[in-house]
Amino acid sequence: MSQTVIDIQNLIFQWPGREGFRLSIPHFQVDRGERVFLQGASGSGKSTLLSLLGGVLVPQQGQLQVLNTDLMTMSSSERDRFRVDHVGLLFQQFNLVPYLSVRENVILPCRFSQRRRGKALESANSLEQSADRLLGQLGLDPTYSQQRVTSLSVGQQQRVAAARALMGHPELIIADEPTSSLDADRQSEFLDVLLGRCNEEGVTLIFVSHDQRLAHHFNRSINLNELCSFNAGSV
Amino acid sequence: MTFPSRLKRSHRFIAVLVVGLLTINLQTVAAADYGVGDRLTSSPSKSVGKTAPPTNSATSYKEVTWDALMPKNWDPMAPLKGLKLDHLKDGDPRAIEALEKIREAWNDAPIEPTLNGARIRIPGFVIPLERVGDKVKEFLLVPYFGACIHTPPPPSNQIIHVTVSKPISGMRTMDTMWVNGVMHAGKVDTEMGQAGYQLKAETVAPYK
Amino acid sequence: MRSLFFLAFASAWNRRTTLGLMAISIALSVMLLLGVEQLRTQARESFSQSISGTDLVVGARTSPIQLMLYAVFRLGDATHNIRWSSYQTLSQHPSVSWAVPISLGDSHRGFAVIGTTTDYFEYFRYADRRLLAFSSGKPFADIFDAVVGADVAQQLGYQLGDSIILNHGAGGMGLSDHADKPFKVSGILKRTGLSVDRSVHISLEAIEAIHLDWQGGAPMPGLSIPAEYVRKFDLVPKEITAIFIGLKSRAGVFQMQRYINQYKTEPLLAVLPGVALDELWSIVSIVERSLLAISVLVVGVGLSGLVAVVLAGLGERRRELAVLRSVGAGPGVVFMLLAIEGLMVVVLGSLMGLLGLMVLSVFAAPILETHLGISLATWTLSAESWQLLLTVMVTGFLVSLIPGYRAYRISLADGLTPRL
Repeated sequence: MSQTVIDIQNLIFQWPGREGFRLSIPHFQVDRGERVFLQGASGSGKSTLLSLLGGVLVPQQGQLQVLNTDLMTMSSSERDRFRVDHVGLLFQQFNLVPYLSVRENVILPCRFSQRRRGKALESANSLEQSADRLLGQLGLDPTYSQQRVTSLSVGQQQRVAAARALMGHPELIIADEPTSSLDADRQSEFLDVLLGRCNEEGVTLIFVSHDQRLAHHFNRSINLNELCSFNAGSV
Repeated sequence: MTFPSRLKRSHRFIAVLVVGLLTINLQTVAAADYGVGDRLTSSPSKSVGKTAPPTNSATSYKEVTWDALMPKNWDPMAPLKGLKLDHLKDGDPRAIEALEKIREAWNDAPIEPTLNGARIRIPGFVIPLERVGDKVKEFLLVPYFGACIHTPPPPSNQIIHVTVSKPISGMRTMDTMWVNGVMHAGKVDTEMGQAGYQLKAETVAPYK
Repeated sequence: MRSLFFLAFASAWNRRTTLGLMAISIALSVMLLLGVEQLRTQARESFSQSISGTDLVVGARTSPIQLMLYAVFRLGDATHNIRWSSYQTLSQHPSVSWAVPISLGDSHRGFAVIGTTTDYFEYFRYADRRLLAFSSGKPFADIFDAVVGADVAQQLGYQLGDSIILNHGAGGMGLSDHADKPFKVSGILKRTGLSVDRSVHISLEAIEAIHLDWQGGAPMPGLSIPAEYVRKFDLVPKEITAIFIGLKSRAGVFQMQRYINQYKTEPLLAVLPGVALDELWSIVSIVERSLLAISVLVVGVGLSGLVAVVLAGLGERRRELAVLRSVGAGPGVVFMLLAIEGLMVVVLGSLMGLLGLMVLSVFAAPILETHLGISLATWTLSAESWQLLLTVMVTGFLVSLIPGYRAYRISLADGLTPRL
């Protein structure tokens, strides 16, 4: 079983219809279990890179493989399915569906992915049980499970989002500035629990943030400018 | 896409749907344009498969014309023989008397007894007699349009009294129908000795 | 699939106020649509049931529809009466099997009084050749006997043997009273659902008897004939309002009709009930169609509103849709979610409308029956009504595809990071 989770070679992506707006990545490789810190400010092509990794955008040139699967030959719905089966996503804010309970939010990926559903049920009697356990491991005790997400603090909401990303054992987690809405104390706490879980489960983590101070938590730190050349073109 | 243009597109779509609803539900009855005295052609001019009611080979009906209901030796215009109608003025007592004689004769017209028990099919205009709810259970079938309204009534051997076992919905006066069934030609009024045609219809289908 | 419905419902419940209002608006429009359709079919059924087995209805020479209206459906007043001698001649015509005369114009505490012969109970049929049945008693034998309909007995609390007073004129409260000649209830009829239920039947001689000391609608001053002497007078009727005729041969109806229409002694009109009914419907159908068209447009307005509301709300829901997208809901799923939501609202609204209509029918039915003689079936729907209901729901689903498609496009464009 290959150890390479992400393999990008000579990738070039051009936004259709936007002359000169272009992202170019000569080489990027991530192995299993790595915790990669990608540092870059907004506007440095960060969103584009994440969309490419998530299979939402398709590059015009080069090679893009995630978990040894060539994303470029897949159709849009195939890529959607691949993403939910193998990748957990975590954003800066507004991660959760406001009218569902905490537990329901965590279970969501299992509604759309048979693989993750199956995996979750391997180690628990029900999806709800698996979700509750995951929440506990992230520092949220069971009393929160049935509550509406809107009654939680931002820090607690991010933990719920993390639980959802981890639910059903995806191989890869992509986190886009998940701590940027939290205050300094909470940031450390959050990172600790997240990284702890990823270690335990052998999940590969790609963590994007503009905050250099967080870099020491990770075993690999890359600056986006080094990784790719992003040309915003003549605007 | 800006907000206003988004709404406009959906409203157009809805307008189309509403019109669609309208046309589905307002079943405009395309009333055939018949004039008083118009008759039906016995065989439909269009393809048989589409317009004629299905005929099973086991229960086949013989198509008859209205003329066949009149015995060959009966002349409906007999009382007018010998009268030179062109030479008579309106209101001439002989003309009036002749018309009276015709009416009396037509009232007691002879039937064609060979039709008794025959399985026939015949097209005509309907006059509903009995209803069950809004469905017609019994009606008269006549050969031409407006038979009861504007013109003198047809001779009694040109009227068929039809009964159906399964009441028919949506039948209105002067609708045109194909009627298939078993004909009874005989006495209908034992006291008066009057004879007429009665039909037990097995299928009734619109005439197209 | 179950997940889809769960998510759609959870999302809709979150916006239940707005969507609830849209459902109510659709409910009202469905109520209107189905109400119009039900009324239409019930009216036709009721009127068609009013008379059966009668070949001709004969009366004064008015229009055929008007004759049917006052003689058969008992709506409106008779324009003109016909002579008793005409009835005698017609009833003796060789083609005629039976002839029943009726006389209209009187009333009893708001119910119509009908003068007729005992033949009425033998030959008058309704619905599917049903004869009038008695729940108690029998037809009149004595001059002052009366047979009352089921509603009359129930609402005025009459029983066999009771005495009742009859008014002259068809007004609700009789201005003039026949108090000195009370009648006795000799029979009560079973319920028919027709105007018969709201009528009091007496003999033709009784009508004459009531009017002995009357001239032109008011009692003659100084003249009062006690009841017991009435019988000594000549009570042969002079006038009647209409005659129901049954022929020996039904096919001979045209000849008889022509004969009556050309009757020299008096201007008469003979009408085939089935044909006159069709004439009535062809006139009414214009109104029917207009009402139906309006109702359909109102439903269109309701559905339009639903689409507009959901479309307008999509802007706020971009985040929600992006979140769903990020957990694996493809654009197609988003499309279905919106479509299902729309369908749910339409189905809910339609069912509410249906229920509302039934509740309304319960209240409206007695009024309709009393004033128009239409008996409304409260708890059943005609086949056409079910068709309309289904069409509304299908159309509702189809228009819900519009916001579905919009949401689909949004989620495609936004990807994982919504533009806010």
